[in-house]
Amino acid sequence: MSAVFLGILRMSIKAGWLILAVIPLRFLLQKSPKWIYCVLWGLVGIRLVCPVSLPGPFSLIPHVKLPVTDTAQISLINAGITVINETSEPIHYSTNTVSQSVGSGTVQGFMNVFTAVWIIGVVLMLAYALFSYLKLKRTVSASIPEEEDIMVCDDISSPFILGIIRPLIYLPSGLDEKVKKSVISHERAHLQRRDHWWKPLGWLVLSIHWFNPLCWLAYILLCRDIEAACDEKVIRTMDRQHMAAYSEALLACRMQRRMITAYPVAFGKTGVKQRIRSILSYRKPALWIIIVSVLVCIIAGIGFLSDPAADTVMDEKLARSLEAAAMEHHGYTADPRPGFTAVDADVMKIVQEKDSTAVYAWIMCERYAYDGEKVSHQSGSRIPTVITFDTSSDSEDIYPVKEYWQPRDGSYYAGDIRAKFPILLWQRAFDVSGSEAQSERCRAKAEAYFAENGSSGGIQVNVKTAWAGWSDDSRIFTESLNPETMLISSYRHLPVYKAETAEELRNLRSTFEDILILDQSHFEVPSFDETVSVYDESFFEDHTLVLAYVSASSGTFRYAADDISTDHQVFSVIVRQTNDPEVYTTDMAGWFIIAEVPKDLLDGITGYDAWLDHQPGTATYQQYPGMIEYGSFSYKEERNSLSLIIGRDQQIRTEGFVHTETVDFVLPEDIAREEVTIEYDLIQKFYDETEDIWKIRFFSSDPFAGEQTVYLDGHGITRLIVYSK
Amino acid sequence: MKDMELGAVQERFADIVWAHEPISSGDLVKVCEKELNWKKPTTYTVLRKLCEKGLLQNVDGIVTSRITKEDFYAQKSRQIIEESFSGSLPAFISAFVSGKKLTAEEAEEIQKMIEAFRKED
Repeated sequence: MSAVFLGILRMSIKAGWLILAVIPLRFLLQKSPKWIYCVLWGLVGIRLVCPVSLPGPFSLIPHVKLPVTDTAQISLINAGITVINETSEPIHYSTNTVSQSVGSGTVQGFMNVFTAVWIIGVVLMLAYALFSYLKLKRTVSASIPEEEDIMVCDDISSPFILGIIRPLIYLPSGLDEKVKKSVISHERAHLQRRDHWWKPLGWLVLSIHWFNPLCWLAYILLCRDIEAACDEKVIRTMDRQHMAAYSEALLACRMQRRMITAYPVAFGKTGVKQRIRSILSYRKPALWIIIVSVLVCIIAGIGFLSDPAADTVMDEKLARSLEAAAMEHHGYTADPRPGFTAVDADVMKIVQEKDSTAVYAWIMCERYAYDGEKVSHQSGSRIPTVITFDTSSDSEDIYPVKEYWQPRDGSYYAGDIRAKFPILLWQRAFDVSGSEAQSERCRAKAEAYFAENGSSGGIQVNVKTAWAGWSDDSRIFTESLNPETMLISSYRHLPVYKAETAEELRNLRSTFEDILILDQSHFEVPSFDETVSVYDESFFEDHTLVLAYVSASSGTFRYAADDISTDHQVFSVIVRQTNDPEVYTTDMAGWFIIAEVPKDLLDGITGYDAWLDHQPGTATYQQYPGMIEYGSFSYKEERNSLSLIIGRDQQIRTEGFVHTETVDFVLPEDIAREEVTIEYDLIQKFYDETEDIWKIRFFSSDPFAGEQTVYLDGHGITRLIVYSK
Repeated sequence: MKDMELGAVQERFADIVWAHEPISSGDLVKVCEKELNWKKPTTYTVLRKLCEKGLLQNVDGIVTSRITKEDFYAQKSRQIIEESFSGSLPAFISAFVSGKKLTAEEAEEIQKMIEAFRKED
């Protein structure tokens, strides 16, 4: 229902501009026949009722963004509205959890109040019309027919028409004969012009738009213009003598009590003096005036009924730029796994300015993978976004992005959106209902991509595993090809090295000689030296070795390369633990995963990466001093359960953290360490990929010591600390 | 009875009563329904107004007039003469006659009236 009201509000504002345009137009067309005025009002009426607009060459509606950037305005609007839980966050979801807690509560409440008031207004207006009609009907019940369409009544003081389907003219009794004649011609002219339809229609439209003062003005002017047009119709064929009689009749009738019209008019007489003046000075308009007036009407009609182009047009280049901007923002960095990122934009509004264009849209980006048979959905997000493009130059293929705006999450979400989006878009900006449609479109795009490009990843190369022993020497990271990926990341990235020639291999070996154990085997896993001994000069003619180092807390684990992909020009090795032993040793271990990659596969490759794939939902930890292990958790679930246990033996802290700003390239546990105030010797590390939140638990092997758990987000900002005894 | 103004509707109603009196209110309603398409409350309202004015009366459900039709119109004419012709009957007659021709019968009737009046004197 409030969507209906919002639509009507939009129409009302647009029509308001038109009403303002009609007023000078009326002045310009002074010499034209008055029925032209009525036509203009008819056009306004259509605009007020018809939600569909024609795509026209031009529009008389100016393009205006209602400024709601003033925070004072916003707080004024927000005041007096019960604050419902405003922990709104942009939607990040995976196929497992669908968490859509967007706090549209307050905006909805806001809109509901206005809608209710509007409906009450409409009902009152219609009730008034009905009441007036019934009252009149009762008054004239005691009337006698005079002619087929005329009734005479004692209890009325002015003539009028009552009835829409079978209209009757009601005259007061005791009218002078001459006056009677004029009056009858006037009322009959009303009937011929079908004014007994237009006036009630006008009131109906006004009932819907009662809140718009311009509409009231339009209605008043409409009534006046109807009377004037009616007068003109009557006297068009009269001579001067009759005209004088007619004016006298007007005067005689109206001089009595306030004119009772069958359909409510806001204020009493409709300018009797003016009408008489017009009648007495009536000149039949020349033909050319009529033609010009009609032309003006037609032009006005087109202008009135068209929407400003800027509102909805999206040209092809803009569409491409939009997709590219969204892809770049959400694309590769969102998920390093091989697959396809589908991006869909549900555009709410386009604002074109001189050198820039801003697009307000729901941007959904979804990640899909393809295993050769099925396209599966992995994760995605849907966020109301505003992208501003620099449209000053036409030279490039796509417009460069000036600003890619998204709301901040948490308690900032709703406020950010209200500050950035124009007020008429708020409803849409908080409306989550379009996500299914967008998801379908994304899936279609993904399926089309996979149909054309085949399965993602799945490149088959020969991969060997060699024993290397454990080390956390920094050179392992600094000598790798991908040091920056091993910092804050949802996946545990592994250092990657490559050797394109036998010499490079030798150099690599000498680098790691004193750090790792390259000459020993471990159970069935051969030693590094043994493994690489087969790689001779001829091997390196058409192969390159790509190595990844994976360390673990137990030598019982085994690893292999699960998948290799060359998406986004990055050669990525996805390593997986191949066993899941119930019992394992607690010795530090490390392996090299060695891939024999044909050189032509590496054409066009600009980077190298590797990571350890993990299954969500498993939380493992090792009771080994200081050891850190990755696991998964659900931030939402834990936060919900927290509210239940607070106070008993756990306390939480939600502010006053050390880390409140974004940092780059620092490990989450290092950030968390700085927030912890107790002594600990064990650390557990978890990650929630759907919300991009880390959970670091600091505890001690001593069960009586306390523990602290720090929750921080992917930007390094601490969110929550839980203290337990 | 002085200054009893009747609107066109009330006059018509009065005509109906004069034509049918004495008439029960129920029958009056039926007649008004037939001739004027009036509903019961409408008929009763107009009846009530005319009773208040003193022209009609509704006793035990029977409606009769308190002033006959002739008397009413006679009084009306006298009023017009008072207002428009300063009470001068000759002026009235002359105005009345000035457009139309008196028929032989009318002239004779007037003659008789004048003679009867003279005789009273």
